[in-house]
Amino acid sequence: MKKVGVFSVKSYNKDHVKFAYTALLPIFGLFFIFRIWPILESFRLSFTNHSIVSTKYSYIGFQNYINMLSNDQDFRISLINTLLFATLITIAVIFLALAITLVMDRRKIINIGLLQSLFFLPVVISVVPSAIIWKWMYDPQYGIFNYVLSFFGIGSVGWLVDKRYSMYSIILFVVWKWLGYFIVIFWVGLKGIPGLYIEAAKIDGADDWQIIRSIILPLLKPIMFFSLFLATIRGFTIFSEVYVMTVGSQGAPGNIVKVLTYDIYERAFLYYKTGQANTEGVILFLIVLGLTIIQGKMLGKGE
Amino acid sequence: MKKMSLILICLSIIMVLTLSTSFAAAPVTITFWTGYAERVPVYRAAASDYMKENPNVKIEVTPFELRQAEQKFAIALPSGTGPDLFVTSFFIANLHIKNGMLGPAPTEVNDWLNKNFKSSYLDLFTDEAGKIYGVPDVHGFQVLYYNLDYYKEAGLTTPPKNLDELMDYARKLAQYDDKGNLIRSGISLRISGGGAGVAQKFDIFLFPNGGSVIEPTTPGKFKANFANEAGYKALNFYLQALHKYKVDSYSIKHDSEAFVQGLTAQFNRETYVIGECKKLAPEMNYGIAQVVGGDVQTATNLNIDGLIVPAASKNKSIAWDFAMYLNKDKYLVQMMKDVGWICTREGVDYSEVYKVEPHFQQVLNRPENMKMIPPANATSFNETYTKFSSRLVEAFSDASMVDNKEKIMKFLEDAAKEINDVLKSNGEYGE
Repeated sequence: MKKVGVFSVKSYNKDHVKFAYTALLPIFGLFFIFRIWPILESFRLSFTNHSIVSTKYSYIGFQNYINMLSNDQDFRISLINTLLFATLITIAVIFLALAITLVMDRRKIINIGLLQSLFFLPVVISVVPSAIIWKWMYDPQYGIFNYVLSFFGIGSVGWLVDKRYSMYSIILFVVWKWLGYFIVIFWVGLKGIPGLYIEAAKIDGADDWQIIRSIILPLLKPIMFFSLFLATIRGFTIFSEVYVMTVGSQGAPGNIVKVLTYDIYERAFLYYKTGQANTEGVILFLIVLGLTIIQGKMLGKGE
Repeated sequence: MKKMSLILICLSIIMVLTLSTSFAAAPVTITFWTGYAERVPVYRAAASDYMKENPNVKIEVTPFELRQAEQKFAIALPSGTGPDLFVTSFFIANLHIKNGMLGPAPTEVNDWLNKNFKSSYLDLFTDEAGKIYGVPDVHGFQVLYYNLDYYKEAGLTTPPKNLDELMDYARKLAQYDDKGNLIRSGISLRISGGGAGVAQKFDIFLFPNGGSVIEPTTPGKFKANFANEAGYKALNFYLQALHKYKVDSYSIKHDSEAFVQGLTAQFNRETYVIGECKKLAPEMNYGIAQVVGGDVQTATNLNIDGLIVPAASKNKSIAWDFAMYLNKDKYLVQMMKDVGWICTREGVDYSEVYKVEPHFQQVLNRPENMKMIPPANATSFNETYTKFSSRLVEAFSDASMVDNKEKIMKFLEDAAKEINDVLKSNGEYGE
């Protein structure tokens, strides 16, 4: 018997190991077929002029990458919009989720479970129906937002169709949708902080703000980095929210809210240029990978 | 030995008989995909009748959301997993014809098509070798819808004839609240939304003065045709409507939704809106006229959907047969009466529908000089129209462009360059 930690485990012989690997083989196989292979295929197709409607295509080297990075207006607009979306959504979601969690914790609100459920409710509603509901709320004539504005004598606003507001209207919807998820993450993190530290600080005469600043926030750092990392990746890969909000004559204007995933969709499924779509997909993958590595390092430092 | 041979022969006969009976009894399933959910009741009614007449055939009509259907079909074709029958716009059908993914109509279908459809409609589904690949189904074209009660209020008796009159009418018909906010648009324009829709609607305003988003030059080649007087007049019309005369606005509902709710006095749309009005605003008093004309021509856009059969279908002959069956008078009348789409087969008696819905007669009452312009049959159609739509949406919101010819022309020239570059990159540009 070998001792590992407090447990004793039996030493396994080669046959056991072989059996374990054989048993895992189908799972690895499926993982390769459905996860790894499509990614590798995507890399391969990014060097071609592949079209979804044709069986013939050829390799064109880095041409797609050169075109996209040098003079592709759609790519440029989509990249700028994606950066804006991801940054604003991440900042808003993290800040609000943290603030709400701290208020719920510090103020000892009685029915906290109900409050958490209310915040979490949008998370469990599918994106498409909730986006349609919000489209109605943004309706210029019958929407609740303009109805509220009318009490203050403010005229109707084209929340989605007016290019000055369309991006912020979608951001507001996304923040509403994601907020509950991050509140839960922060709440779990907060509950992991030993009550002893806070009690001790209280005995020393620290007020709420001092407790938050000197005890809670430093101890929440790993959770904050994790949330930041998660929100950024989700912000970069946002699609359904934008897609639903732009559909139809009452939808948001195309270029103003076009993000990278939406542009990939257009190239692949509207223009049938799958080679270009894969190139853009690879670029998005590299951006997200880069951010993940940077945030991972920051997370390491945070710990 | 003789006995043995006799037994073997008997067994063989029994086997052949059994197999042939089971083959005859095996039902053939025809899969029929469509992106037009509203037409499904008609397709299903025809399928049900067809199955009664052909007990060995089972027809499964599956509706999808329009774009999803087109994408699913495009992906399924190269892998041979598509349906036996699909209904789609002729320019999408042509994309697949060019890539060799569709099967041509057999001789008997070909003959039937030539007898029953206008050659101009069949040309849209025909390849360079003269083979026809589709049975024209419904056709859509834009007409002008106008609210008769609002016209009466404004003292208007006849629909407008040109862009200037259209704007004059819109100014008389628009309504504002005490603070000057628009509460009823004089004309509802397509000014927002993703995809190609904005540019498709813009075409109607380019046509009167001889423009179009893209126009054919030589067979298979195209170029942008809006960086000109036609483009200036069309774009300035939108800009004036939004910023100068304020007869349309970003803060008001648009399209058929606005029309059935009485929130706009007039707008251009395809004929299916008649069905929508009947369902959602049966009491509404409205008229239909042809879209306005101009110095060069009076024209509207024409889009025809066709029933197509993939080359990889294992049941081509039944699929073609059912495509012809769908064109029986009974179903074409039902399509107009219940759904609002007008089919393309010649010689159908729609008098029964005109009695209950006279608007259809107004729609089909086209003047002889009325041109029906089909979308450019270019593989870059979606890309050019989507890109131009995005640019237009930005231009519409720029109030500084109103009546500013220099600025408008600069915008149009830049946009035309982008569209021509797209055509060049797809090998479809031609002077």
